[in-house]
Amino acid sequence: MSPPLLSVDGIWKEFGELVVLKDVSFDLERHQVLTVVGPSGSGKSTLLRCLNLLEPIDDGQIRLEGVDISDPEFDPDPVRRRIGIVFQSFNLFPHLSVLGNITLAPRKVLRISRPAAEEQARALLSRFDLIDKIDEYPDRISGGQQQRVAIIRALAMSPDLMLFDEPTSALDPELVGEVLDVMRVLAAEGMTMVVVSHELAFAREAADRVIFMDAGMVVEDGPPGQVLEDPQTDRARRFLRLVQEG
Amino acid sequence: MTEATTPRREPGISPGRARRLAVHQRQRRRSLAIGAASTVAVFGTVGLVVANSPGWPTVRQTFFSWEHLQASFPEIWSGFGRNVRIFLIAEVLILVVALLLAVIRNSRSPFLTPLRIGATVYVDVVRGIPTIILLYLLGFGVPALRLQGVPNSQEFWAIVTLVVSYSAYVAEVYRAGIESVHESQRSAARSLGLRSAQSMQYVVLPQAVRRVVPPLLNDFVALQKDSALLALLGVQEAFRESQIYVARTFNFTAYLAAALLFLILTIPLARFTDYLIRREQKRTAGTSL
Repeated sequence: MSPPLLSVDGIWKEFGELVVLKDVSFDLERHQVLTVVGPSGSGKSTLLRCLNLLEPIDDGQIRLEGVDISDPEFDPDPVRRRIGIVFQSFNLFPHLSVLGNITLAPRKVLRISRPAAEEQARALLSRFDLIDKIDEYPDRISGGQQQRVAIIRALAMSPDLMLFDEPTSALDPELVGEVLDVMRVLAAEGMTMVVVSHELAFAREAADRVIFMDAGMVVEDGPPGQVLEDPQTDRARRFLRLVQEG
Repeated sequence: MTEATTPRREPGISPGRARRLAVHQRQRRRSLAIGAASTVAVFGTVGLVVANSPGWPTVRQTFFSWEHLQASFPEIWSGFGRNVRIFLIAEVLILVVALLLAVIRNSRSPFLTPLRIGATVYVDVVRGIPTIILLYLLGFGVPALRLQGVPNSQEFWAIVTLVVSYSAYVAEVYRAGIESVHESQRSAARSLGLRSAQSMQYVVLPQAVRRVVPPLLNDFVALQKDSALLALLGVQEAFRESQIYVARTFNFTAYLAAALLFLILTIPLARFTDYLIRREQKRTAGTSL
């Protein structure tokens, strides 16, 4: 049997005295969607930054297709191009147009020719109804459009795994839907995804699995029906009640 | 459910609008009147004091003589061409050297540690020495070594001095720009697989340089003026030519001629810098108050 696409094995992350991740473990098979929920400060965002190797972990292992990518002697750059991340605050490059944002990494990292990279970008933009924004700069388009461009920018690297760090929480309520729609399409197409989000509706319909985190630990882990409808711990019950009441 | 109706603006000017317009107009007229009156009062007083001072007729003759302005102009003008050439060459070199210094100081690679220490010491030392002393040290000291293959021309060492002195300041300007680019931009670049140097080159530096264009232009204005220091090495630039004219005629108007030439270049550049700063503020602030 082949190893899972992503295998998180007892990882610890500390910032000085503060322990942010405590012995976190889970596996993720290819084409699965995992949603991570939990109160702020529970370590969800740090977990994603660790998976992308933007933060080094202090103990444990992160394996991608069985290879330990968290080994301190491992070159992180080639790994990062296989793992896309979408940030809460979009982080588009303000000095580049939509097209420039999408084609920069394919051209400079994958060494794809400019025409080929632009053709790929145009195809992605057309698919997600953004082709008319191709020459705009990030500050000239809406937050929802910026986040969709950020998703396309990550997709253009053809990643094996996509990470989403609260992709809709910086958006006005009426713009949340268009971003979730893109994520639903990706999930339906079989993209492997880890989504940190409070959008429980999205988790219910698109996620194969939900993890509830609290104080740096995985407190609940199971299918959305179980974790969201019938949580086993008081902490999860309290949190979910608060989120659902909005 | 009833559809909300959009209120329609009545044609003509309502009493409320009319009152607002009238008050705003009154306030604007008042500000204009006060501004004009205080300007006339201040400059008028200064003018009167100067014109009535006992030495004014002599000063007018020695500093503001139209004949001497015309007579000294051709030589000073040709000297000024040398200023322009020197500060243009120096500015290009400064922008390149300073950018290298700033990037080296911001690098994290262990291979660059000696360069990083060197760049830090260089910036600290050079910024602490007055340009005029540096000019004497490099302009008279190095040629005196009579090294093989090292040019002895005064102009060459003058340019070297300006580059050495200004690149230390300009490097700090670049560095401030680099540090003003938010860390999340680096994160985004690295997450796409760009290496550290690529993130710097394609994501951080383009944003940093754009932000520091106004302070860079400011330093460029200062450089243009400091090109007059080269007179001390005997380079025949505008100030040196005016000194020569003054020594021959004992009339100081030649200095005024040189000053005017500098102003013709620096004032438009300073205005342009202000315009860029205002445009940037408008873009980032988005409010008129």
